[in-house]
Amino acid sequence: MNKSKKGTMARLMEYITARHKKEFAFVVICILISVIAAMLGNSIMQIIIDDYILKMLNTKEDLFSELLSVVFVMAMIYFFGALGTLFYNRTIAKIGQKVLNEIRDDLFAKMQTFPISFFDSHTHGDIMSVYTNDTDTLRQFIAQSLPMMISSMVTIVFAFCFMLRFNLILTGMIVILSVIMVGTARLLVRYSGKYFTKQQDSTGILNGYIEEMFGGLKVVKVFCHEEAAKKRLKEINEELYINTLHANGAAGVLMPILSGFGNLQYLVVAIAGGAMALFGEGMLSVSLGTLISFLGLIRQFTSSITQTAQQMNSAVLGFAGATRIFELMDNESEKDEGYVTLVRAVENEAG
Amino acid sequence: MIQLLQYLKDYKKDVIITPVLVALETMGELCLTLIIGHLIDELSNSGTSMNTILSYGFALLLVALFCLIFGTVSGLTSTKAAAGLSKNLRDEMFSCIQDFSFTNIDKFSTNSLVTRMTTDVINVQNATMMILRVAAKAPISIVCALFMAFFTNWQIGLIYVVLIPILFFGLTWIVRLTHPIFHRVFKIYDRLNGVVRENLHGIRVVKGFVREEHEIQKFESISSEIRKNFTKAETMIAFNPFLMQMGIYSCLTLIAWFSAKAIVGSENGTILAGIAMTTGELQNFITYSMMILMSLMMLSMIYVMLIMSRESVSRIQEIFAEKANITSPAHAETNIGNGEIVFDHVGFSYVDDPSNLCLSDINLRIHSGETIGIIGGTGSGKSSLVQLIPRLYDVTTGTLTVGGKNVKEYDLDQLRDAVAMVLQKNVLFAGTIKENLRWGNKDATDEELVEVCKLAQADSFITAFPDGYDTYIEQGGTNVSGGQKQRLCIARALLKHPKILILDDSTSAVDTKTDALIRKAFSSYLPQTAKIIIAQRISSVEDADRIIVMNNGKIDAIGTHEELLKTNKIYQEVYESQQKGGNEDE
Repeated sequence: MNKSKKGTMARLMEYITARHKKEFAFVVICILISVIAAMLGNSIMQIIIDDYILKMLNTKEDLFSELLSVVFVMAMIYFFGALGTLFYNRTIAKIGQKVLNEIRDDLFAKMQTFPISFFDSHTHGDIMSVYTNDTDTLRQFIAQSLPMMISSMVTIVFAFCFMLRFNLILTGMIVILSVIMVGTARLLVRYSGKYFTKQQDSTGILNGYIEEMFGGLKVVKVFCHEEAAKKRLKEINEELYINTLHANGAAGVLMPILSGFGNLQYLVVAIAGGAMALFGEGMLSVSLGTLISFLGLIRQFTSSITQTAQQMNSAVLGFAGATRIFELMDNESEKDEGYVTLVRAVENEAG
Repeated sequence: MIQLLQYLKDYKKDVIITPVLVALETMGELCLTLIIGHLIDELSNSGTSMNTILSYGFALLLVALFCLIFGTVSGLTSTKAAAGLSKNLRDEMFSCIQDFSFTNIDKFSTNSLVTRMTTDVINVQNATMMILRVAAKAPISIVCALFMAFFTNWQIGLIYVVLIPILFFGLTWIVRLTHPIFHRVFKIYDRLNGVVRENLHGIRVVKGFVREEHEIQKFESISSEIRKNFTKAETMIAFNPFLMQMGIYSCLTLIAWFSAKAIVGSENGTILAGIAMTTGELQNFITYSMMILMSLMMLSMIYVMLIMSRESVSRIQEIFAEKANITSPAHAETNIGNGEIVFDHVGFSYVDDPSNLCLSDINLRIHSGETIGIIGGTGSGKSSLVQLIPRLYDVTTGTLTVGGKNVKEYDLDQLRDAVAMVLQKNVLFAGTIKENLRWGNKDATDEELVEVCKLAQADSFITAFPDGYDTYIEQGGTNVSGGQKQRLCIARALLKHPKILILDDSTSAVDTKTDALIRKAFSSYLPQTAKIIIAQRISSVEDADRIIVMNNGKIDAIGTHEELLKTNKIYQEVYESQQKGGNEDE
């Protein structure tokens, strides 16, 4: 029972990484290749502009044969990057499906060991909802959000290192603004996360109610209970609607708010950097070339943060699903001796 | 998708306003790109003054603020529209299904009805949200980016003309390939649902017969089938981002090469002369490429969403298209005179096929206040016969009258109110005992509840529960015994004060003594009510006014216990076997 003390994340990661160590390592490597290729390609573009196009314009030298080989290198790097993307997406899809399969099977096998009292105290629809709705949110998290989050995170780290190399003061400004941005995102994600969990819960309740009413439809009809059943469904449905509204609403405004922050960062650096370029001295000075490259990096940096934050929503949703799955799995099994007693009890009844 | 729009109702305005807001936001973003481009040009220019930078900053701030507002509001309206649509769909579907007759229900399965109301509706909700948010964005971005690219340099813009169709067809081709697989997965999901559902319903049997291993094997084989199909589809979809990146990267590489030629060439007047270009424009081209490809990606995502939800939409529509075939007539009779029931040459088929009848040529008159027993083997048509009375099914041939009028003339609710039926498959619902009993009469006082429970011999065990009448019954009534459940169901039916009371094998789990007490209570409590008792045990029906022996969907004989014992072979056999077995408490 130590297992239940571990967090949902730790248990999920155990399914994903511990059981599929090699494949997961392969995924991480492919993601690295894909991100590094994108970054290298970007710098080569800068090299082409600075060292070839501008140089040729200034010196009137013909560097096209050399340029051709540089462009070729760029094409190759990009090609490998794209291959990396292909392989990590394929592999993570396979891992994700295996993990889901294992979780489903574990859950079902474990469920067979639960005592009868468990089945009496849970609506069937609610349990069934775990097998379909909750595992489906988990699927989306593993196959889509997880790789995207890893790749955005890698991009953030790389972009940050480049930024540090360019200018400390501007990087400092970005860090301060990013902290505010991430803080806001966290608030929103926490808010939507709370409601995503509620949404999953009310989906379970709804599922349970529908299951019960359809299963007992004959009785419903014999007692003309159709209208009462409809009324009750409306209530449950309304609650689900409210939770969905809060959860998805918060998730929906996250993107525009974050891109607003992205624009703000750009603005601050453009103005501060511009001022530094024009009037700055010593520590405060910056070259125009650096500023332009820096502005390019900010775009990458903030868009990666935005992407991560956006994925957080589906991560939260996936977590809510995983939590419900593990909660179900953590119910006490029947005691071993109980199994034997049960068989004996059947014998007694028959005899 | 379009056909479901009628269910938007109050949320129509959100659907209309969202794309407008998104369009405005997209325009704003394009403005931002342009301003930033100019700003970079200004910065590259060493003669820039601080004032220029500040005025650019101000413009950026203003436009960014607009984007923020439009974006936030559209995020909210799209959510409201999608969540509202799914809420209305669920309400409507549940309503529809509640009004279905059992012939309607039999066309679907309960599992599939549940999946349709949950998973399918969620799919439609997600698709709606997604489409509302990006449907306006992607086309506007593509058109504007293409326009500006061609405006900057049309020769290099031609690269897009070649690439966009290739990518578009590549992406849609992948979707086409994967769609049938997703289609299959849905079906397998229904089956998985079915196995879990069966397992949950029959968990006592599974445990009693130690069938867990078998169940696990069954589940695992379906579970791995889902995995195989999903893996196949998802590994194919993995070509999507690959194709996109190949697209972006080819664009960038080609642009780098041709722009270099164009820029240097225009200066030297040798190579590719005439298509002059600046480095700033090269930067812009890179931005346009990103915009176009992101939009293509979004369009392909919408396409995937549409295809995936098309499946769900048609599954939802099947429910709306199904017309409930047992309804109240237009000018319904609401007053049911008495409990007299007349079957006149009634034939019935579950598939509504006169050549495939499971009840045929039933002629029977049951008077008010009479007690009728029905005996017969499994499949002899006992349950089918009584289900016709409250119109759970309609007769296929002949006529059935209650209180002197054809049952089809009555208001359905009034008819069913007058007929209390305790079903063979007893169902109690999650809730307290009181709540369950009040299904019979929602205005019943506590005293009335106790009265009927005493009659149904249920009061003694209810009061023995720690919570008494407030004891919580779990879904399906799994925490009370079979006999207790049957007595609760009888009490529930008695509360209706019916004109006709039907017990379909509803005392099978009750001992003979209690059974007799319950029957005695009927005749004193409901003297005017026609009582029809289907039973396996002769002892449950022997004191009835008349006993009907059913065989193969036909009435074999009608008479009193004594008469039948003398004349009817089937009745004699049943009686003999039950005497010999001596299984009073079966």
